Amino acid sequence: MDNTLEYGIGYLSYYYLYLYDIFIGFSLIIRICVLVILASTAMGLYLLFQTIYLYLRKHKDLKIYNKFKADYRDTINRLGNLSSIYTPEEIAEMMNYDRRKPFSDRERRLFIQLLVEMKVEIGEGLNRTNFHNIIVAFDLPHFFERELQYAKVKYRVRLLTWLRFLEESVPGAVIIPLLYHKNGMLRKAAQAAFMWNSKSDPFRFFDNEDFDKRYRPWDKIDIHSIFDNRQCLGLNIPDLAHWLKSPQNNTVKPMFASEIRYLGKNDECQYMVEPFRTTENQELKSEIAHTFGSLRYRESEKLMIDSYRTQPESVKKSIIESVAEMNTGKSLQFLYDSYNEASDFDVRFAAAKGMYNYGQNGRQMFEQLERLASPADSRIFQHIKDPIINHKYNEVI
Amino acid sequence: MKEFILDFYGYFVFFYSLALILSYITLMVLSFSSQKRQKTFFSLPYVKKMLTDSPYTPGISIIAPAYNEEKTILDNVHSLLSVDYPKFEVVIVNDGSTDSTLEKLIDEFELVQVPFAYRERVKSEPVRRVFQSKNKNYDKLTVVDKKNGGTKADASNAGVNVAKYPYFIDTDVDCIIDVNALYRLIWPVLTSHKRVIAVSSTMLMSNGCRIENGVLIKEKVPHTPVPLFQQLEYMRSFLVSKMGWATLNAIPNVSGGFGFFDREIVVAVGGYDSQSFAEDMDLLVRMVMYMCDLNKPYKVDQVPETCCWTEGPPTVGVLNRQRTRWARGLLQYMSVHRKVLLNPHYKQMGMLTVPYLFFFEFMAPIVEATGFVVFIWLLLTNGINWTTMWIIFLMVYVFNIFLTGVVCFFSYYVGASYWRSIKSGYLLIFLASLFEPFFYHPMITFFSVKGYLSYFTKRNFKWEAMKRQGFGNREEESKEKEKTASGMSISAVPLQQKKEDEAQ
Repeated sequence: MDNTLEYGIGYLSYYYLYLYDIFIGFSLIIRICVLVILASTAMGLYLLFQTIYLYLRKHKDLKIYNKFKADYRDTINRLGNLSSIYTPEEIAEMMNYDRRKPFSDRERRLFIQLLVEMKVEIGEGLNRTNFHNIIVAFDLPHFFERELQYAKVKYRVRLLTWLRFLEESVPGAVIIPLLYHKNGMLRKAAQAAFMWNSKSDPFRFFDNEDFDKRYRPWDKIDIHSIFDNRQCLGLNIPDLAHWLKSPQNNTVKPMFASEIRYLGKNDECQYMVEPFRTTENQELKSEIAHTFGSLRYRESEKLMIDSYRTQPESVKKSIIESVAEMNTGKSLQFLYDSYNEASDFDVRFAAAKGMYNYGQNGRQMFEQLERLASPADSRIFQHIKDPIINHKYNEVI
Repeated sequence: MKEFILDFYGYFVFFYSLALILSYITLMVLSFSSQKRQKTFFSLPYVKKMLTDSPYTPGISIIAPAYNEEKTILDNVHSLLSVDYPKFEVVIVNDGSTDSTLEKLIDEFELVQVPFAYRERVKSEPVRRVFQSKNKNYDKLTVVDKKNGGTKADASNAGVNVAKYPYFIDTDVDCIIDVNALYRLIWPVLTSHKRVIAVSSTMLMSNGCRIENGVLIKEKVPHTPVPLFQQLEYMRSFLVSKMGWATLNAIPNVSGGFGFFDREIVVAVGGYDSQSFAEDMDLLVRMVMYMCDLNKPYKVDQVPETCCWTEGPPTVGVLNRQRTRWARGLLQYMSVHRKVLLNPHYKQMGMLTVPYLFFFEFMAPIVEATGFVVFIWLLLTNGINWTTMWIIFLMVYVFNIFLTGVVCFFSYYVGASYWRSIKSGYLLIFLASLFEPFFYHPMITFFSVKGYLSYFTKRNFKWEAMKRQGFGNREEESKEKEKTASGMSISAVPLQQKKEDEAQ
């Protein structure tokens, strides 16, 4: 046996050395060419196998998914639309799910995908209890925990987003190890999931420098949805105004100002006066002005008008919009002066629009200005009044 | 001396090809890592839900200039309006059409003239009228009627002036946009901690696809030679090249056929240059230069999924005109922005993108054309070392096939649907790649050299409008066309129509 092996190796070595010898004998150009040809061929074959593998995997996934669709879609749809509640056991029986023969992880991932699709399809009228019970019936809560602990990063990130989409939760202890994970995407997804419904200091990340440095526009959208969800669930939302003063979070501060507006936190307006007065951050100043206007914080009107002349154009525009939205009836002259004195098109436009929407007196002043306007300026007035441009179709004859 | 020159040239060409091959391999690796990252973290239903519910969702304006497009305009506008996104508008710029493009739009969409406070933020020919619909169903549509400016750039600038959202897509009116394209394009913008100033996406040929009422019903590979070769070329360009460059934040170009831009930056750099023959490349480099000059971090990204299908030149004649113009554009770009070349101040653009464009895009046709002449001369003088010639040819050819394999894999990986019809899908692309080096590539080289020459000889160059036949909902008309069409139009799909050159 040993001799045969030795002979075989010797045989291979001989041919290897023989070919190598021929190869070395070629010029550099030929050698490079041969290497590129061999490498391309080998890589091409590898790619072919990869493609076949990918095809088979996709094909199998599609097959499983279609089977799930055929077997469960109608029942999920019915359960999601029904007003009566079914227990997980009843649902498992109704859907012929044998708990002794559970799905594989791959099947579970595809089943979750189906649930996501069904949730979109059913829409607002979804019976959340039944939907949750379907998840329990298929023993998914345990899968969620295991997946978050041991699966690949991509599956974990995907699951964390799906969990929020499906309005499901996992114990905080499962998420906590992921909150400071080295992978940025996973860390962010875990932090968002933690803030989603945790009761134990869920907003601690806002103070992290890291949060500020890696802040992306998507985070704003994400955090808004988290606040929105917490409001729906009746969970507390922290006071946001103190993050406007934080030494960190320079890029994030405007978001907190707008969140105060969207969440209707009127009681926090008083704490925004100081940042409005002192901040150098134009975006923050504009957002605060909008929040004052939107929440009708009348006490700020004088402050904004007094500071108007010292502001850059973008903030001026925000102040005008805010004052117009507040509509206290006291600032028509301010709008009139702003229109007449502004050099910036957007500011003039905002002032004219503010006047138009500023009650009866504002409308009269608008028309008076329109009569005096130059042909170029009269376009601004016509634009503001036009029902089609402003999508007021009931006014279109 | 003669022998030394020939030897030097031979070695130069060899190492030039080798460098090109190495650059492609690098781009393949970078592209795959970028695709993998994007594919892993993008979940369409989730992104849709979040953006639909959020007050922070950024609005997107779709700007589509139209010049004498009466045959396709209605289908195309319906197609653009059918895009799914919570906050978007469609701005059609009628660039002084002499046919009934505008009248058709007015009738179909119940448009009325509105007193729009037009503001010329970027330079364009005067806008005559702005129209919007009195029908609520078309409240996202704005039509701008302007004096003909002679270039798409000028019309796009007018669109930029009317657009109301912070981002815009510049496209051609005959492009078919994927219904979820806007979600895909906004995703890199939202998930980058740097300011994303432009996003490119994969574009493919619509020739061959099944399109009804301006909506893509079935994605298919073109069945006619010229669009098929172009499809292969586009796939290589978007899936390997641009995707790879995107990883290094060094994309050379965001296509004028379908490009997503940050409006504020576009306005800051003065919009498109209507004198440029490569207005899309020119705009991007100016945007990047602006960001670098102000020392602001920026990113230009690429989406691997196909977001847009465009009608490619169906005949060699039209292709000739297109590529000649592109070549002139490239030369003009190199000449205007020469200070960017190897300038570290412009970061990746200066040290990577423009040098690459110079050596491998601009120089390639010259090297290839010279090579062809030298080859003929050597053939006549019996000076060819055939063994070496064949092995070098084999190297380039095998690599070319391998590259096509990679492109097909990437395309399938990101989710193209050609696989369902293998015969007419990847197999066709693969077959095209076997013939491409013999037919299509020499042709493109010739057109490019022609473009360079016409640039140097300062030949008067006119922009040429195309007559389009329209997409597939006019079945009877197209069936008749098929019967009478030349041998090239073998497609069973009514899309494959001839474009005629109106200028000629």
